[in-house]
Amino acid sequence: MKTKLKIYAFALSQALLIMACKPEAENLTAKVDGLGGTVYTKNTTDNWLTDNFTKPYNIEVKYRWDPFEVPLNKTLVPPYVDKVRPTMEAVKAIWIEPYVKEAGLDFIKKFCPKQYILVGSANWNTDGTIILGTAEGGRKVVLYQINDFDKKNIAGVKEMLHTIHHEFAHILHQNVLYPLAFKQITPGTYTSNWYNNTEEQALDLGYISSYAMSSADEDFVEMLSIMLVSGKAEFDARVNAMTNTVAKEALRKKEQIVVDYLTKTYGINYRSLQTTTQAAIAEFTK
Amino acid sequence: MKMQKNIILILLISIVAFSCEKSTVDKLFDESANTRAATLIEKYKTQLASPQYGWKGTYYPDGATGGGYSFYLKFDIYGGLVMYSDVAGLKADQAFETTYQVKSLQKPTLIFDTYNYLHELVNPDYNGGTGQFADLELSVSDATDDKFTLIGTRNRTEMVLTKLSSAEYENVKSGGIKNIIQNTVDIISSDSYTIINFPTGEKADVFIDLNTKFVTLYYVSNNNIDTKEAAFYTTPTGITFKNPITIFGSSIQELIWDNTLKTYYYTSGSNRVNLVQSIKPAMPFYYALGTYFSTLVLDPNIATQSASYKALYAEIKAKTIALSTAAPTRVIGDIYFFYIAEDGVFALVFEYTRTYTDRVDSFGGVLFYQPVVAANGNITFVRQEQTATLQDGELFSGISPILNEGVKKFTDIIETNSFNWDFDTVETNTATLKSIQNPSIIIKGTLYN
Repeated sequence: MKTKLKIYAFALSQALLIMACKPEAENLTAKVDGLGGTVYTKNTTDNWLTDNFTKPYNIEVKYRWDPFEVPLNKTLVPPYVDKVRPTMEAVKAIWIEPYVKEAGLDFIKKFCPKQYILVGSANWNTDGTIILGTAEGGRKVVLYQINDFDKKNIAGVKEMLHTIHHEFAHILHQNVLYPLAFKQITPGTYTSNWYNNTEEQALDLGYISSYAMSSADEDFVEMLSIMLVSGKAEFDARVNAMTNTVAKEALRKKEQIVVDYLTKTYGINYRSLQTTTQAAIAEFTK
Repeated sequence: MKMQKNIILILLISIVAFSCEKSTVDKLFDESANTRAATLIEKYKTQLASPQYGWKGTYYPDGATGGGYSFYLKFDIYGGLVMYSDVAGLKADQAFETTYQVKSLQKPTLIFDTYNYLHELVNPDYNGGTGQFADLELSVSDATDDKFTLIGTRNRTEMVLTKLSSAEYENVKSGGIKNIIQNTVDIISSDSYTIINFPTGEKADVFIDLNTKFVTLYYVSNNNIDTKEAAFYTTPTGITFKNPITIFGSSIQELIWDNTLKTYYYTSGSNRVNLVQSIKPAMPFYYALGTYFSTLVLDPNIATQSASYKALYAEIKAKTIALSTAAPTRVIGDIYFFYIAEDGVFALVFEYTRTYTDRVDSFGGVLFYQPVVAANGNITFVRQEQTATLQDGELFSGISPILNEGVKKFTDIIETNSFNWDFDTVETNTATLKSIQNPSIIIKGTLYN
């Protein structure tokens, strides 16, 4: 009985073999269109981006329209080609280079977002507010309003670099969280309706900006980025002019946590980074 | 047991027998979907880049309900694109070098992938987040060597590309679109009206709006004001309507610029009809009132103002000053009729000031009149009981008795005469009141919206 079963099993396997042998010339290595990136002829802007971002830092900068890189539910437009290089020159001079100087090349290579997506217009919310930038999981940063960039507009350059430093600060705290004590400084006033507060009202509640009121994470990165872009002198002047001592004290506590965090976590001297960033802004916009 | 063995044997034999049978399924396509899409994309790119003089694109945003726009596009095979467009307005003579892709999204799609004139219509910064509901990704709906039909992926807008002729291309390059826009701006910003005198005898006023990209014809039909409008785009020779306007026996598809006559004309059948510029609209005065304008300022300083009105104005001004018993006196400024369309009445306003040492207070004494129009068009003003004073944009009940007394000679004339009222024959945007009972009384006024 056992032998018969073996014979049947053998016969069955042969039959399956014959069946399976039927040759079918299917091309399994056919190129799938659209994979491997968009094919286009590189212009001088593309070459500059490759030389200044992709090769040294492994950062991809995308400015040609790709609907799947940006929110699909929003109306957006790509940037002017002419605006791409000046914008990214600012990013390099005022964000990358100060960090390289203060924290070293490896630091920026390790933590920098690997993809920048540039969008010409702002990203409009239905409540009338606009988003200037977003960071996704430390990998990708989308920068909006590139078409408004003007090298000579110091406030505009600061606004743009504020966005970059803001998004990069998110990456830093997503890698190592800031001390929980930060969340306890102004715990009761975080609100999703932050935009109902003016900048002055926010300051009076112990926030560096109204957007900082949206959550502790945003508060932390707003502190870190605004202090860098405004500089110590401007920040001090602003805080010293405050009459609300409770709010003043809250801002000073937040400031100290930010300064200590960068030193203890990443070994970066925040004060020195602040000075370098200020010098970079002055040099770039002169 | 034997039975079982036989069944297994039959089964095995049949497996062997059928396993070698060739597939009988016929493939619908010889190549994979991916290969076919890639081939199509290459074909579209070649087609787009092949016309020597490029393409003319017509485009209507907001689900094809918006005004029209023209694009003149010269694609190269490497993703480069040279563009002219009437979106650029007075810079339409400047070529914009930009980029494009043809890419497989849901369908093969033409994407304008860096900012150019088309994005001015998409840009959300202009309309609080929505732009003009236009598209920068347009899927290929139909394509031949001579024509592309493209449908927007988001807002379903339609762009139709047709092959451009050598002459039109040269005309665009040498600033033809800009010239048309400049000439149109000149017409719009002049004081005159643009009129069509139809071969059938009727007339219409033509309003061209370069912001909305709509042209509107106003005319009187069966004693009512009627309008017809069409979206238009600019070409190097004139403006072309999305759909022809059919009116009084004419079918108007486009207005063509005559640079010698400095006017537009259209052709309908074998007729050529020139549009004319006029100091007064085609719309009769009575219909134009409340439609084109609502205010008539009875300005004594109009160049051809009648001597009788100048004297009357001076007299009531002096009298009002004289009647003022306490300083500061009331000094009359503008006198104007304001037509309140929703009530069908006129407010006759006498503006006056009182100058204090530290300030000047401005007022308006207001009387209301019901117009009564006779069959021959003559008008009589019937005074209403209510009076008012206008201060800081607000109406308060009652008029200053001193002012009321001061202007009485003027209001008596208005209330005891009936008038022939029409556009002035000399001055632009001016109307003339002529008394029927006393022909020496003539009052001219400037018309405002």
